Amino acid sequence: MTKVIAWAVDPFVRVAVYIIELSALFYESLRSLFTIQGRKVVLEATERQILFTGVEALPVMGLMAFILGAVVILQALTQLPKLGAEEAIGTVLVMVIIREVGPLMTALMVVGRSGSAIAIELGNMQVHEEITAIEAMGINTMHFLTAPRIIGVVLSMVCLFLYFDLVALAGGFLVARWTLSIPIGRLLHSFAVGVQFADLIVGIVKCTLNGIAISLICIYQGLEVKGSPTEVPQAATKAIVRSFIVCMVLNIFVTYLFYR
Amino acid sequence: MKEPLLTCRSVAIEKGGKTVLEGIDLDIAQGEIFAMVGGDGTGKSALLLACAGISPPIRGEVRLFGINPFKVGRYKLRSLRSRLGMVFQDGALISNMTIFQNLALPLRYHLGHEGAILERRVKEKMKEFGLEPFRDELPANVPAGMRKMAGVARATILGPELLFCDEPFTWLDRKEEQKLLEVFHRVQAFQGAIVLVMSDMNRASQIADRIGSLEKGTLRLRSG
Repeated sequence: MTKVIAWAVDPFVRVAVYIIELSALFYESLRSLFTIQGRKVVLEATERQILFTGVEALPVMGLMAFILGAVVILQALTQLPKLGAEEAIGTVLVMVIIREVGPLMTALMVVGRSGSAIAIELGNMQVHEEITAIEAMGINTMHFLTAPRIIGVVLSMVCLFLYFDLVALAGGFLVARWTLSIPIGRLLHSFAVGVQFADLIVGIVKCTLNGIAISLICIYQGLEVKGSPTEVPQAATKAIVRSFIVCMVLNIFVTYLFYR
Repeated sequence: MKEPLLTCRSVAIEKGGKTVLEGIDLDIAQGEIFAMVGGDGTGKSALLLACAGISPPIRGEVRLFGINPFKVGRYKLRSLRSRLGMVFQDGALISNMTIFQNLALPLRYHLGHEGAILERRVKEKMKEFGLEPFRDELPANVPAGMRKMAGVARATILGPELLFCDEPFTWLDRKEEQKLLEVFHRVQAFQGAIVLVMSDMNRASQIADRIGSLEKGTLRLRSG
């Protein structure tokens, strides 16, 4: 009987321990930002993370956003005219892209590109004793390694989300312009009516939470590597899968909180 | 009598869930070169990490400059570690930083050096260790011996009072070995001490003032 209870309870305990450890990592990283030493070094590391996660992702993000915006409009075009709601096309696009697809696609892109890279980089650093060497130099690893990655990922995600929205709306607008007979003024009005400032804020909240979750999970999994190179790809896989699951859950949670 | 730079009392070391070393008592005095010699799996590198205040022992006490590094706050620990130098077996250079950036890191982080002063101090160190041709190379593109020398250069750039070296002579040619010995003598001259981990007893006898042989799970001390 005890074994059955232990078997049933074990996954919940493990999840709880995981969340506590991630929270501790987050707390320690934030706390490290009050360190006076090495601020310039940490700032440079943050800039590098923003460059990799944000700036270098712009072309592929733009392409994806444009295609998605166009696809959403094309799908809407097959249904809305049947309901006589052709002019609501802009509103539909805005709701789908800004509220749900934007934050999720940004998360997906960042997990795939940067999250895996963070886990692999830190895993390899563990294998080659680089992290021990950093500690031996008296450098706070939370300050030098963890905090710049969290800040870099969060800032990049928020900017990527706004960029994604803009390009997706542009893509949708262009497709709508070519395929619909609605005058451009009314089409623009339909878009303008759809865009709510509150939706943008909710999107930014989602991206901030997703960014914190992705960076923490990927850093944690990278640092979990003990010393064997074979652990590195496993850490990367775990980081990607867990990050994406957590992002989905956070998205549902925020959507429920703001739109129920 | 001056307090030893490093003291270990009844230290026990665990490796892979198994106690590999027990009852280690050790004092390292100023100006001393001490070598810990043992075969593979004897726990010598783990003991070195404990002595350097990086991984805590499972039992016993380590004191660096009279302070237990595992019982102090993070700020004191960091300032304590900045008085130490640690040379890893393969250099353990940060792989996404060039050799120059690796050497500059302790100066930038601890002393806030930037610009001309940073450039001058790193250049001096690079010249001393013959690292100038590899200045802008990533560690992966540098020969193993030079990587090791860069590791030594980085470990000594802040002028450590206590230098820990894990297998310091692997991958070094004769000229590089000579350079490393000069570094040791310089640390000694400034009343510092050096703790080496080696697997070659003969080589250790030539270099060290005292040797600790890791046998049957404990440390047996003898003169070098």
